[in-house]
Amino acid sequence: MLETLGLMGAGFIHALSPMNLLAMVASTALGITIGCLPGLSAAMGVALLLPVTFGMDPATGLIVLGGIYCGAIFGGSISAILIHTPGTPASAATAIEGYQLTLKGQAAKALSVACYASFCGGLLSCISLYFFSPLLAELAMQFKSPEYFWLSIFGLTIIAGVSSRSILKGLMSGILGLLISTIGMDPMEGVERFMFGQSTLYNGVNTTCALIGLFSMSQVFILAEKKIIERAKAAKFKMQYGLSRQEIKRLMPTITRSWLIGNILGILPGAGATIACFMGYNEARRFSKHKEEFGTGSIEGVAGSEAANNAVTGGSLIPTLTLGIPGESVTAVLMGGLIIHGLQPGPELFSTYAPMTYTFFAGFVLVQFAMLGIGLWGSKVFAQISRLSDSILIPSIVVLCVVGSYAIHNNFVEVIIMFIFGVIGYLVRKFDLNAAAIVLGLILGPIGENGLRRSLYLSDGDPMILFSTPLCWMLIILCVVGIFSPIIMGRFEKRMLDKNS
Amino acid sequence: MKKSDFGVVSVIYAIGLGFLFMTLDLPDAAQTYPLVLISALLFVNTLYLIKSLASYRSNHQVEDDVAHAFKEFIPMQFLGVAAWIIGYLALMYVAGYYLSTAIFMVGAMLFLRVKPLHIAISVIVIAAMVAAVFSAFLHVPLPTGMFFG
Repeated sequence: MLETLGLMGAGFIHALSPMNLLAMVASTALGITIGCLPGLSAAMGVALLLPVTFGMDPATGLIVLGGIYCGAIFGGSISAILIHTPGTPASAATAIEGYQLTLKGQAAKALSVACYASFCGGLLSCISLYFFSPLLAELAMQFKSPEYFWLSIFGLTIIAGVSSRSILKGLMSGILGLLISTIGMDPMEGVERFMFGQSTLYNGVNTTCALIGLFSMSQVFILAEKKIIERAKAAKFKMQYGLSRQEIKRLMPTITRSWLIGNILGILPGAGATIACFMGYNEARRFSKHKEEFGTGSIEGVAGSEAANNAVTGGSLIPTLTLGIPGESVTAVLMGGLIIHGLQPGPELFSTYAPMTYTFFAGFVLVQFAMLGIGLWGSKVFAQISRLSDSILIPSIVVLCVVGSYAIHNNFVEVIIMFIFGVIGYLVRKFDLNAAAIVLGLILGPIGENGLRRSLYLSDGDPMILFSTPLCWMLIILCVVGIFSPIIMGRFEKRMLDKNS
Repeated sequence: MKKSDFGVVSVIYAIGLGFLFMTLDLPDAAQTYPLVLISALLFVNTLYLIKSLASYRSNHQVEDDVAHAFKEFIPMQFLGVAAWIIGYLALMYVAGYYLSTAIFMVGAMLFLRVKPLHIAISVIVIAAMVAAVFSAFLHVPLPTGMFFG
């Protein structure tokens, strides 16, 4: 206990270094910028900025990725409130009440409530990050090769099912990702597999290139196919920096409820910020003493949605960091970043790499403060940025994708690989396959392969070793639950949308 | 059943069979894991095909989801941007990063009808950002191209 407290304290000291503070502020501002631009997602931002973190200390790099993640989730609310266009799907519910407040000339109040609610939601979610992560990591310490195999299967089933409209298409995407992960040198036999004569593929397909291609380059094609329209002019407003005591008193129960909702949904792999924002909004309406305000501009509605979607951020990092199971695309990309920095999700993060992990946690806490400050004082600037035309974004994103993928190994072939993944990502999105499942397959592939092949090696080829421990059975049951959870989640989300439509 | 199902199922079969042929060239011990994955892919794909056919059998309707997916598709704009990107990658190989980036950004933005002032600002901002982050901070030697290398 004392040791953990010491690590937490040391984490804050490291996180408060000038370099980390600068990284925090810059990445949060960048995240808000990405979030407030309709059409750009948090996953895209994290993927695009991944190469920039290579030259950094792993803790700083992770803080940058965390800053972009939190900033982007919050940033979506700015365009949702001011131009009635959610920057990210996670702010869809915010647009309902936020824009009504703007129409009533209360844009400043809506933005200010969104800032404080996002801050509280994000900050409170850090509590569970601090307390649940080490507990889950302890469980992961008991995992051996067979368990790691099932864990990778569980990760795939959950993401394949949850974020796809069709479970079978999600599974297909996951297996495709696994198949792509076999490209390169066979880890046990030392023979070349599916390398097409390219020595660049010796170590397999570079995950960062694949991430940039699937999430960022594909977005360019999505933006380029539609008619480019001018965005609505943002409403003029004079920012309100504080909330009255009465408003705080009124919002606190809503924020607390939404924090719990967001946090639990964040921990559950597959739920995510989009469902959380609608649930938070719905519960805010259900418990409100001012139900008549809903639909015509309610600050509780804005707070309910924003606190819930930001509370997802800390919660979703728990299964990602401890078990290596990212629940949604943005945490899948974050996990890719973690692995690229040479860190494997699991118990080692809380033993060997504990100082780095706790620095990241502390950075994640401080990012919430940066988000509040930048959100309050920079709203006017972000309001203008949110109107940036897609015709400027398209070439700018291409340039950043190219330089980002080139910077990994200073290799032009990787730029081509990124472009190919961009085309794949575009087709995947058009035909309802699942880019996040492909990425996860790519990331979890080597873990699963090593787990399976080592297990079979240890048992002289007897597959019964994969069913030999209670933990294996627990993971098998979770895999089955993972396959069926989308049906439940889908119905749940549909009901939420129907209620709010 | 959706119209795109035919294409998706065919492409997945083609990928699976392509990997299968390549796997058969590997030594025996290295074949097992890819074969497990290929079998799983072909199995799930077949399940999807059966599900699609069953859905067609029950309502005798093929939903035109391709038309829906490409409802807002503007071919000239899309192909124009794609051509600019491919041209950019080819040009970078020859002319290096900065020159090709400037040409690409100006060309692509003119193609997308961006105002000249906005083009100038965007090119300067992106070039400065790349120079500061990748050249100065990360020390990435950006491609100089065949002519300037």
